[in-house]
Amino acid sequence: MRLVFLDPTSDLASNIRTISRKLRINVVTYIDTFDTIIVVSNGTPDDQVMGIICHHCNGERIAGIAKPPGITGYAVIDLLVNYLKFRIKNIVILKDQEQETIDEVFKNFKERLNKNNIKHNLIKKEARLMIYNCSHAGREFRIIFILNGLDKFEKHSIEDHLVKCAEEFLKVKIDDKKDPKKVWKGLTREQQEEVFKKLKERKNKAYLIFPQHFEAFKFLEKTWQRIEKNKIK
Amino acid sequence: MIKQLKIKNLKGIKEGVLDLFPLTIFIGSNNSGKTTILEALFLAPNPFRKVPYVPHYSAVKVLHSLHKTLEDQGFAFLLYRYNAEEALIDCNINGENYFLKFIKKDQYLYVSTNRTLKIFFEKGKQIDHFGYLSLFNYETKPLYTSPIIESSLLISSNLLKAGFNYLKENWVSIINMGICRKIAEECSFFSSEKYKDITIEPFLGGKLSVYAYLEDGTRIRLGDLGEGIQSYIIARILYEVEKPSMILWDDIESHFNPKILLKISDWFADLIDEGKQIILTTHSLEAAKIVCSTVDPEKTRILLLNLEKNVLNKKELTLEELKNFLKSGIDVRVTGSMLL
Repeated sequence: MRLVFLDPTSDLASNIRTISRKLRINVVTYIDTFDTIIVVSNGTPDDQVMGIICHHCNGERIAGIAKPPGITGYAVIDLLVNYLKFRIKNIVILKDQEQETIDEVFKNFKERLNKNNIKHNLIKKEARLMIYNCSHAGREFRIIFILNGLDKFEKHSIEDHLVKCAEEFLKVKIDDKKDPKKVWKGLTREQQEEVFKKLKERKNKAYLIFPQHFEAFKFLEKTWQRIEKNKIK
Repeated sequence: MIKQLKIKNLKGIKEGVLDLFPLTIFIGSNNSGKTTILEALFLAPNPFRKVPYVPHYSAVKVLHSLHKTLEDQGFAFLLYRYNAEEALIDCNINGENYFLKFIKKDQYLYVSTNRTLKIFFEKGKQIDHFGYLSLFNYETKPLYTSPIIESSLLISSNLLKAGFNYLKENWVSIINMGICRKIAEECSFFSSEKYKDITIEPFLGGKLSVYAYLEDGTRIRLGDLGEGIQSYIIARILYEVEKPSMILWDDIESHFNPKILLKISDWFADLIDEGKQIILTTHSLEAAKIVCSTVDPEKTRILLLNLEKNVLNKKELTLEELKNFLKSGIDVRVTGSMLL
């Protein structure tokens, strides 16, 4: 999958472009026709990881990507109406689970959708992936909600996955299971870059370490294929 | 006030309709028709009227100078794909319709309007146009040169030199308008130097030059000042000379620090209060925000433009909507076509 920056001057654009050049992955495009927007609610390194994951997905597909500046967590849901002003069908939201339980996140997420008058119908739920058919002011769309986090850690974020990568790829011993953010920051820049490099090279491992992310894109791919089949019919 | 503009077969625009407001700011990708719209509004009052740019003298010749290429000397650039049979600029002015047509016939573009002008005769025959332009060379034949509707002034960094030449040629009348001191003092707000006046005096060798006169009595040639200050001074003076009903400013952000833009935005707000109309193009959202900030939101629109198969599409945005998009990490300048 290739990404179109909704704001090319953003930090997100700069981070993805940098990693894309470093890893020589062709993940950035300037074609401005897409039906999916990925909203990154927690900044970096989430954006870099998204770049690599999208590199492993179908390169024919295109999605817009944005990080609302200065806004994190559930607050991004308040901005969804702005994304709906585009001709889009899917909104992918990437958010850290933090210290909430999955049920708490599920409840809070639904409440926030209600607050924004977004009608929602859950169609798929996995450990950290929820997919809803939604409607707002006559517009129908789908929300694919990905929660960053892995069971073995306590405070969940994208760093759970990255630290696990470091363990697997670099054989780094992780003592602190509480705060993976701290562990990730404790790695040298070279180690972090090596993790990203391995993630790019080892697609199968990446699938195992980022299961909810790949599952979400698998779902999207099926949706697109269905649309294409219907068009042919 | 021009409330609506329709364009057909003019330059790169095959067709388009736009609602205009007291303050209208056009944003959009390159080649989305922004400048063509300004040019249409610049031609609208009368392509043959005199404008304060030397050595071009008429509005249509100013545009010619902006589109001059090495091999193409004529006015065919006005026609869509250079070969449309007719180009149209149609304005709704407070409910009344007014149009200009450029009709291709033989090697000329004949300019006509729906307004009743005095009847023209050429070689003893009554004619239905008030001037014509050659498709192949610089020749123009104006038969009527007064503005047919209220006048507009096009400001562009590409016209800086031509505007400066006009100042030099008309300095006596400009200095007697009593505006130069005020404009010089305004420039002191956004410069580290304190200007007292603008004068014209001999430079080395005795050749006359326009100067900014400083508080301490020293002088700096206008051309040696930063381009932002030059642009501001020239635009302000040309406005005072012309007193147009409409200012058309292409790429308002060119050369301007936000401090100058703030000053310009205050000036625009005053003009809008006086009933004038301001139409701008910009690639800078920062500039759009600054200019909009002092004007009543009801009187302001940001129009996001896009050409799809050369047909003009537009999306009207308020400043608030623009800010909401930015808050969501969306830059409408690059995603505009998806919004339309």
